[in-house]
Amino acid sequence: MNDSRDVTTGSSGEIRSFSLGGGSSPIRKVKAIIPQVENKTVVEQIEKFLLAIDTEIDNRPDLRNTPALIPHIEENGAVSIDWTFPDFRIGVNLEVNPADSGWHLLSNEKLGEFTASKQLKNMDQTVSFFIEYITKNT
Amino acid sequence: MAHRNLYQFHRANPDGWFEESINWNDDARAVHFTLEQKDDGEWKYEIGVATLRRDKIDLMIRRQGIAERFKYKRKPIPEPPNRYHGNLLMKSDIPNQLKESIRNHLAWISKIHFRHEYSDKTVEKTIVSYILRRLSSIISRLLSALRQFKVN
Repeated sequence: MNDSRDVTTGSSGEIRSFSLGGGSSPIRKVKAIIPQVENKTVVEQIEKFLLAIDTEIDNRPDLRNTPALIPHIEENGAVSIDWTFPDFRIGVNLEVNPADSGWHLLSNEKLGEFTASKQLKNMDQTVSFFIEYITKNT
Repeated sequence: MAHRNLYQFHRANPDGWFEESINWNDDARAVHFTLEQKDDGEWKYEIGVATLRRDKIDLMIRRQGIAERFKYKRKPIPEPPNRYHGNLLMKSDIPNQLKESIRNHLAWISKIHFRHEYSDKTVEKTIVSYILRRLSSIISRLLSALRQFKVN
């Protein structure tokens, strides 16, 4: 995968409004797989998720140095996105049926083996929670 | 870092449970045995295998509140013989979102053993073990010779 290419083609119009064009953004790998995602509902969810992350990162330049979000296209058309830090992992699974989409947060012993997972109802609220957790624990 | 795709839970048994085959890490040979398993002459797990600690699975069951929906069991199979074999079991009517959460959790607590790393370690252990055996033998003979020398 060429991380430096500018993926702004196809049906992912909203992506063009993202300010992050550089190769070091943590969301670049997720942006890059959008053209490969066949299901429109899943694409819409990815774009919504990226927009929420992008908005947070815009306000918090220090977050630009966080690990990259790693996407994975599932056999059933869903997309999972993992954000792995040394002591915890955040992830979302964006399903063909949005009602099945969810998020999870798991930490290791150092952070108390915290476990949380829920249906992904409010993207902005969920991403804000992620950012708060990242800020406190990195 | 392990991915949830390691744990598919696709195949449901007649009792209404998804089954995921595992080998119990009962002794020092279990991981090696699992890596050596073959299908039609090919490695069954080409890249490597993952291990899960049972206390971490138990903690997951408690934290996720899934005592009635997730369990594990032993199920040795006679042919090809596999005394380590067992299953992770997940209720097949589990809500999809919870299923994904469990798969993610299992991935998080998994430790990957890559085939090449394991092989290297095995070779190292074998060499060290051989050297120690040789040293022990030489020391024994030296001690024996010293005793003979004293007697004479």
